[in-house]
Amino acid sequence: MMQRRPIVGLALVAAATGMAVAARLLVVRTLDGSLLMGWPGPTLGQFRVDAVLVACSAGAALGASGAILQTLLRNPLASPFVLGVTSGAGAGVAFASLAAAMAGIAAPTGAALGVPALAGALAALGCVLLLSRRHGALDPVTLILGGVIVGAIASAGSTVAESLLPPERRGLLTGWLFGRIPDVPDAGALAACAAAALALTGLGTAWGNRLDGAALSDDEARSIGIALGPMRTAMFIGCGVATAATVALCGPIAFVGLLAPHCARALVGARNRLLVPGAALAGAGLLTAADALRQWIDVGGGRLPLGAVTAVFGGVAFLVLLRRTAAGWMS
Amino acid sequence: MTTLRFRSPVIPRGAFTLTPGEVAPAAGRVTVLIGPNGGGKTTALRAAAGMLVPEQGAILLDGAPVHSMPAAERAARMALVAQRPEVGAPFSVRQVVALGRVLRPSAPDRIEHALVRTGLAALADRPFHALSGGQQQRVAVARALAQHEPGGVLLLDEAFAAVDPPEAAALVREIRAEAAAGATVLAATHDLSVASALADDVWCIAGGRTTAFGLSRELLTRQSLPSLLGIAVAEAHGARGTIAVADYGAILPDTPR
Repeated sequence: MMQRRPIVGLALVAAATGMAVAARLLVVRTLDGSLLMGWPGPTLGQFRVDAVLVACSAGAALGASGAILQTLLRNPLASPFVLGVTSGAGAGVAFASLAAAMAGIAAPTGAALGVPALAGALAALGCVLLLSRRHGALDPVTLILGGVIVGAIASAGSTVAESLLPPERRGLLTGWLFGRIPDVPDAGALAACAAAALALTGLGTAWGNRLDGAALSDDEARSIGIALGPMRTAMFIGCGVATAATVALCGPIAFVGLLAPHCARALVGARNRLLVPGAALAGAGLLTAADALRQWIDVGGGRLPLGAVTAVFGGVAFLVLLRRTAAGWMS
Repeated sequence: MTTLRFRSPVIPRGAFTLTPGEVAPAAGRVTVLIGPNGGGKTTALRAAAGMLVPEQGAILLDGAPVHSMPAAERAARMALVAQRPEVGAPFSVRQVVALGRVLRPSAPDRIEHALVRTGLAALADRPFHALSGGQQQRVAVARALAQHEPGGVLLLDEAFAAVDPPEAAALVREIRAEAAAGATVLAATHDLSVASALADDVWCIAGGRTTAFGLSRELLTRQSLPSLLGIAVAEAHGARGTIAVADYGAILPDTPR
C-alpha cells in the first residue's frame, strides 16, 4: 500500500498542474508546424493567460464536484458529466437562447448564462437522483445508467433547440455546445466560475471528515453523528452551482470531473480533506493540459474543439474505470 | 449511564407494523434479539438507532425521543453496526475504524485499541475492500467500539453472521466486556449458539410484536424456543451454562407446514 505522506501527494498534484500551466503558457505550434517555446508580446500573452485562468477555474470546479459526488454517491463512476448534470446545464442554456429568440430579445451571455445553466443542472441532477432511488437507497447501476440517459436526452434537447434557432443566432451556440475555452472570456462568467470553484473546494475540504463518514451506509453514517440529509442537499446544490458556472463559461466539458478525482486519489489517498483540494488541482491541470494539447495538434484547418479532446481521452478512461470497478471500489 | 426505552412505538413497515410495546433493555447487560426473518429485528434496531420515526409512542434515549435527537448528540451515546457493512470509498481498515470518531473528540489510542480487540491490528493498513465478508464485519464492530463511550448504547445487527467461529468467540468476549463496563447492548442474531454465549436477556420479536422478553437461561431452552422460533432445539453444557443448539434434523410434531 501507499506509504507516502498524503501531503506530499498533494504537492505532486500541484507540481503536475504547474507543468500543464507552463506548457500552455510557453509552448505553441507555429504556422510551419514546429513547436516553439517562448513568451509572446503582452497582447498575445494575455490570450494565453486568459485561457489558463478559464481552464483552471473550470477544471477545478469540475474536479471538486466530481470528488464530492463520488464520495456522496459512493460511486467511483459518478461525475457531473456522467450524471447528466453538465448536459442538463447545456440544455438549460440552449433552451434559454431559444426562448430569447422566440421572444425577440437578445440571448443571455456571460455570467447571465449561469441562471439557465443552474436550472438545467439541478433539474438533471434531481431527475437522476429520483430515478435511481430504490427502496429508499440509491441503486449504483441505475444511478449511472440514469445519468447517461438523462445526459443523452439533454444533449439531444440542446441540438433540437439549436436547430430551431434562426441561423443568425446559431453560430455562438454551435461551438459552445461542444465545450470550448473562449478566446475572450466574459469577466463576470470567469469570476463566477473561479468563485464557485474556490467555494466548493473550501466547503469540501472543511467538511472533509463528514464526507468521509458519508462513505458508510446511510444508517451508519447517521449513527456516527453526520446530519446526512442537510449535508447532501448542501453538497448537491454546491456541485450543481459549480457545474453550471463551468458550463456558463466553457460549455459542457466531458469527463474532467470523472478523471480528476481518480488522479488525485492515487496521489493523496481517499480522505476528502485532501482529496477535494487535490481533485480541484488535478482538474485544473487536466483541463489546462487538454487545452495545451489542442494547441499543439495540427488538424489542418484550425484547432480541435476542447470538448472533443476531453471526450476522447476521458471516454477511454471511463471504460477502463468501468472494467476495474465492476467488483466494487478499486484498490 | 445511558438508558434506552421502547415506549410503545408504532412503526409501519409495509409487510408488518412494529409494535413491540414497553421494552427496556437493561444497562450493563446484553439483550439478544431473536425471532424469525422479516419479523422485525432489524426494524427494532433501526428504530432504536433513531433512523425511523414512530407514528405513535417513542423510543427514548436518556428520556428524550431518539429520532428527533441531533445526530452528533446521539452519536456520543449510541453506536450502531448495520447488517451489511458498506464503505463507498477506497479506505484502509484503520481509516474505516477511525470513522467512528470522525465527528467526536479524536482519540487515536481508542482506534488502535479497537483494532486490537477485534483482532484486526495486523490488517489495519490493508484496503477494506480486500477483506473477506467476515473480516469486514469485524471492521464494522471495531468502528462501533472506537465510537462507543463506556456506559453508552451498542446496537448490533447480525454483526457476527459471516465471522469465523474463533473470531466470533473473541467478539462475544469483547461485547460482553462492554456490557460489564456499563454499556446497554442490544444485538440481533439468528445464531443460537452466539445468542447463548452473548445474552443476559432475550427479546423475541415476531410479526412486529414482542413474543417474549426475559432471562436468557429461561428463554434459550428446549422448552421455550420451539414455540418462539418454530425449530427443535437441543441443549449442551457450555462455559456460561446451558447452550441452545438448533436441531435441524428433528421434526416438530405440530410444525404448521
